[in-house]
Amino acid sequence: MGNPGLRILAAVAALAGCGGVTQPQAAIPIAGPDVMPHSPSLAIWMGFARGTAARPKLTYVSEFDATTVSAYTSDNRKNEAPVCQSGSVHDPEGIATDRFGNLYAAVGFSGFRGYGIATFAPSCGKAGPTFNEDLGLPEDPAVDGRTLYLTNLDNGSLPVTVLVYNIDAGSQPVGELTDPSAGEGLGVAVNSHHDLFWSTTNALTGHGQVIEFRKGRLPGRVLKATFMNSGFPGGVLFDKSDNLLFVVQASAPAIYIFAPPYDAPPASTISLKASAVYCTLSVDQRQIFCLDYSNGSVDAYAYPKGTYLYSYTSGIESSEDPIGIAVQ
Amino acid sequence: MKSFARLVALALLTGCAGAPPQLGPPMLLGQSVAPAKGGDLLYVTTPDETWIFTFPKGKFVGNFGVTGAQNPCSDRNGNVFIPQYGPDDIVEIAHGGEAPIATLDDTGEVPESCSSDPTTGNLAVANFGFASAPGNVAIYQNAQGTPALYSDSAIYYYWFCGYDDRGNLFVDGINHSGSPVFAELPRRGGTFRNITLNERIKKPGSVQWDGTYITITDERARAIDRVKVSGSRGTIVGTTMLDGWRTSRRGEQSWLQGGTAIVSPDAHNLRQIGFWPYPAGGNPTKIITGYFGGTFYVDGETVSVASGGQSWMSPTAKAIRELLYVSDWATDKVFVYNYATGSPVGTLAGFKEPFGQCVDKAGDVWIADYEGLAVVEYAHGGSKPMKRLTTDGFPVGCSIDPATGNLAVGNDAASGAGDIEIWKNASGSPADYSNEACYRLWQPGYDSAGNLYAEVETKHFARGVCEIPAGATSLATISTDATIDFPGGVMWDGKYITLSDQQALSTDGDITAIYQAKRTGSGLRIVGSTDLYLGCEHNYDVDVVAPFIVGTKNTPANNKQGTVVAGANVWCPSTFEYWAYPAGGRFSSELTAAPVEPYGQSVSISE
Repeated sequence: MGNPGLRILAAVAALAGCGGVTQPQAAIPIAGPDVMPHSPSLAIWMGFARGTAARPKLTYVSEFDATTVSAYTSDNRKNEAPVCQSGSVHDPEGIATDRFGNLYAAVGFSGFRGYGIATFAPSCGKAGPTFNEDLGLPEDPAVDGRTLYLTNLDNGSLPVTVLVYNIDAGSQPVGELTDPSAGEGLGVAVNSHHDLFWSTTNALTGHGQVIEFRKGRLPGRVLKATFMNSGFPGGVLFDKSDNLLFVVQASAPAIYIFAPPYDAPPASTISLKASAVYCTLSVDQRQIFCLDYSNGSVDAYAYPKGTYLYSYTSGIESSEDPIGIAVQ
Repeated sequence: MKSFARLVALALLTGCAGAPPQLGPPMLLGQSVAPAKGGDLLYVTTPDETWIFTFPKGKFVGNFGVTGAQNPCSDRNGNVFIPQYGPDDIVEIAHGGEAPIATLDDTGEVPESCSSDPTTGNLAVANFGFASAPGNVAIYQNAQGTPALYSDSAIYYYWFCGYDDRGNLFVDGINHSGSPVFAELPRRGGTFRNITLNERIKKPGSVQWDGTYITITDERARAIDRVKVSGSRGTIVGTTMLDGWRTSRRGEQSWLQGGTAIVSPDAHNLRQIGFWPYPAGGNPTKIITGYFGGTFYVDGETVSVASGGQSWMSPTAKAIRELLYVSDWATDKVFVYNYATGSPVGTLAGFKEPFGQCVDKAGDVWIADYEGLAVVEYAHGGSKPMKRLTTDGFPVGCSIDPATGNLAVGNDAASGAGDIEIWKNASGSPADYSNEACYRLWQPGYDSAGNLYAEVETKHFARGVCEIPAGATSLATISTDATIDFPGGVMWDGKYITLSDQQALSTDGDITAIYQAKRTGSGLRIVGSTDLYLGCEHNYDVDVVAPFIVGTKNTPANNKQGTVVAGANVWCPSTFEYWAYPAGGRFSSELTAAPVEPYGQSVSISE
């Protein structure tokens, strides 16, 4: 089975995926009444980390055709092999971590039990609760306190949606967000104000854009400053200054960086040596790692300067459709 | 009466009490718009729908689907332009209409907002730009064709543009650093001139001429600033504070219309439209709420008003030899075109259902103002009435006696029989002619001998023709061998007096027929006929209320049979067609920018 994201993106460029990460520092209430309601159900919790004990700095990498998510020493200049692996997982796409170090991976559950989000305790720990997604193709998760967001790549019909889960309220989504301009959902990220940002294709043009949901609530608003006129969107992420980083897959792949309130032209641009769908900032935010799906490598750049630093390839195969990347 | 049939808006309105007044949704939502006639209309666009309300009352009229709608604008004719991102075009919709009457291509751009030049009809479109490429301003000459593109190196993202009353275009946006930029594209200049304001605009919003000053909305300050521009300097000479406006600062359009500032979103949420007093400001005086889809993904960011507006006329209109005048019930205006080219050259406002028309020898145009209970005279190419004669009924049309210059007007009555009023030399007090046998009358027409005819119905709907012979003092029936299924106008074609049948039955169905007739001792005898074919969908849906036969001279002076019939087809909204005369058949050409609901027409020839 191939990567569903790949199939859609193939027209633009050969693609293997990855995943964006947001690590907000404060919890917020679950999305409010402006979110379309879903029927909640209880989840069973099994050893999920909720403490903030010191943890090794790791970079997780997912490959769509692999059955585990590999973790590397974060500053892996020596191209060392993965230090551990989380799994098993089935068809993983984008991945994210929360502030406790728990790993969230958009997956298809094994045995064709549907799609959703698989979770794992920090540092390749044991599996945690799962979150179900019954309608679309889960692409990328983001966590904001006890709220979990999941963008679908495709719902099978327009517009595509972001599902909203209450981590404490079971495996079913409690709401969903959408916008009539959303074509395909690629990435989600949350800034320090708990505003959700969603990278999508524009349903009419097919080009990239970012939609903002203030406080994670409807209605969404397209950030016109993020309109792209070519290429295909990738993920989104924030730095500690709340700058919005928008990954764009194009003939000249790049990360466009927008300063708050995200209505001005890009403050800067990082040119990537090869296309990636997702990138993630190191914990100290001095490096940004992008998962190069063409070459099967994690490419490290200085942040915010954007200078290319190094790559590592150990255990990553371009044929396995590398896609998600996140740090712990 | 068929000729008076009109499409009625389906609007239902539920009002909600409160301060400010809140206008709530109707029981029916989601229906497509029915053409709304008359008066000003408020257009509100959401990404996928356009919502229409009366203005200033705010009554819901209807809604229709659009695609990727941005900030609309309207022109001096009340036509509305809606920029669409995705289709990358600008659709033009006639005032009160639903279907686009034109589409302007803007491929590869992000059309964000627009403004119509009141002096030329040119349309400027602010193209926002992309993260990887700055935007520009596209100007479509006469709102048609391929645009000329203009860019200002100081502006990266273009937000709004607005023309002043002289045709200078003002634009705002932001530069590479996100700082506001305000610039002018002078009327005769091909390059932008950046304008330094004496105070900083925090978040540039709408740009619009308020009649005295160019204004800039500052979305962050929640204010509208009035700017006096001198060269490259702009001085804010006044500010209107919009209290309670909780803007999202993402480019919602504000719109000034008379003494009202209309803004979305209002103080409460994105699904509302608020009216603020302008220039006084303060709190909103009215809120429209509960519309705009009522769904979770409503954007509700744009507002525009298609104005009933004022009369205007191009300075060149008087010099145009042939002018076409078209009465429009949808807008209560008469639109004026260059007959030869079809280009709009003016609009006459101030009517209440303008109807039939006639011209005198000099080319002055008389227009029946049906609900206004008057006939109004305009000089060829003039924008101000020369004379207004009050009628004793609802005037449907008129004719000028070629011999005397008398003006005859056919009137409907509020009750009882209609009548014909005749003003000697088109002035003074009229003589009144009525006859129970001539119960309902259509537009009358003089022949070259000064005999006046009108098609009529009896009280019980028998159709025929009535006459006031030259020099006579009474209105009476006259026999004719014409079979009239549905009466229409009478007109001199330069050779014959013509009768018309709005609903003639032919092998192709219902069409409009024109019968050429001669006055004989026994009445009107038909000597020829002209069939007008090919409506909007089928051959048989042609209904011209009072076909106008165009000759080389104005009707009363015309002594050579005309060669063209011009007429609005009331079965097909927004269509106005031309047929060869007297050959008839399929129409030979159409007026491109026809009004929505045209009911009368004339061609004035300057003498």
